[in-house]
Amino acid sequence: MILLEFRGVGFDDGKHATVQRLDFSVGPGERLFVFGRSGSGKGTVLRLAAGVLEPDAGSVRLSHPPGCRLPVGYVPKEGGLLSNLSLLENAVLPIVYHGLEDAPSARARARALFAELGLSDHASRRPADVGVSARRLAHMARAVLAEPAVFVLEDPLSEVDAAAARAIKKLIEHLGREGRSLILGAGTLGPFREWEGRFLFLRDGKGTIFDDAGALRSAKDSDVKACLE
Amino acid sequence: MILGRGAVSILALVGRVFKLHAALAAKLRVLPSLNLGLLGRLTLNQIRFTGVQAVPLIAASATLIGGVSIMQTVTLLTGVADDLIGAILVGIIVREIGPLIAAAILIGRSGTAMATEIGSMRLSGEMDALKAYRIDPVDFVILPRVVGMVTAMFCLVICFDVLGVLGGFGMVLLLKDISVPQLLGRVGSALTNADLAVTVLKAVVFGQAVSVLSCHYGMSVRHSPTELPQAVTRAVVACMISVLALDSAITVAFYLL
Repeated sequence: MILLEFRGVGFDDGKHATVQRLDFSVGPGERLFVFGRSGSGKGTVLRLAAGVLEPDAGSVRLSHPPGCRLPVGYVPKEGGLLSNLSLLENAVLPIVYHGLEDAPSARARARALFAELGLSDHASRRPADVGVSARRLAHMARAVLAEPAVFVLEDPLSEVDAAAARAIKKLIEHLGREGRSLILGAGTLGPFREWEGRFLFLRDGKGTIFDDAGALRSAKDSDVKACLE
Repeated sequence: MILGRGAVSILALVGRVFKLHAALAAKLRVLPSLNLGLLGRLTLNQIRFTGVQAVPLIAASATLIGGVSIMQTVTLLTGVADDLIGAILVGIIVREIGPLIAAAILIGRSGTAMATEIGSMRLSGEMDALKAYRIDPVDFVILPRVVGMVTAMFCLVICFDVLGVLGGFGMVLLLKDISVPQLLGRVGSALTNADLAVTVLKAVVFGQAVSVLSCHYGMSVRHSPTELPQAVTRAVVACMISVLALDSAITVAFYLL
């Protein structure tokens, strides 16, 4: 079963980094790490995967299997939380909007998750009133509460403090143990290089797939090695 | 016939605005399937920002404009029969000035805020996140703002009409030798169902035009913060022109009927 499939995907809108003829798929429980230098097209691939961008060429097919509330849980690197809602309201918005859970029950679950992530003190604050770490954790909470088929995480550890980074890594490990599918983008693979999964290296919008961490470590390409540090 | 670039861009704008109207109409058809509790709260918020918070400004403008308009009219038309004062009050304030001034206040106060807010949402990735979670901006962002603004505009125009007539009332009582019951009787007999229909129709049509155009220009912001002030300026110009054109069309239509 394939949850997400890129087939001959190309994209060039003059604003985002371009990508060319990308082919890959993600199945249930798989983890795909998308990495490469700045401007290589990581963000574009992740936005295409999340359905935020539409491809110019080829197709992006996203399944919505039974048992998953939404097709995608998306955590962008910047922005993305509604500025007129509190962090808690942002976290429950997708499930309340789609009527997947009534508001009081969704809020109770969100409060429990916020407590786990050390975010309880910020629950009623708006995104502009908290730091980047709290915003990223709220994003993670929103994605987790949506129980999606695929998590799309855009550089989730960048710019966050050590405590938030620990909480996010723990949450991602937990999702892995639960057999959730995940696409994670990062400039460097340092924090993730021991993790199991497949790796998509991007350079100038063109992709190379490494099937496991061993294949990645034995790569000769200096740009790939630079991203492992 | 070859159209100029300006004509083509106006036609394109009209097309896009009609498309947005069609999308809103489609949402109204599937209204029961939407999360009405959530959308209702968003709509009430919009009514609070656009309507309730504008009441002091509308009240002050209505009273002053009502009073000054009547003072100028009475001064200029020195020989005017007292019988016509009611008709003048109704004709100027209820049919014309009330809806127009309320719309101008709405454009300056809420239309600009709406275009800026939606444009900022585009720039900060909020719209992208909504899209990723399959939340349709038409029913989550635009529909509550349009319904909220039309409702607020309706209430503000009624408020302006009542206070404008009262302002004019006060001025007539100061300038003319006329009693309150006499004046009330003249205004009451001058006010027809057609006057009420014109003011209500203008309120609804202006509210819809201003809200849809403001949302459209907010949504037109794509990549850069420098687009934001340009979009807001374009929204104000388009709203003003649309309101004036619609005002003329409705006034002429009722005159001909």
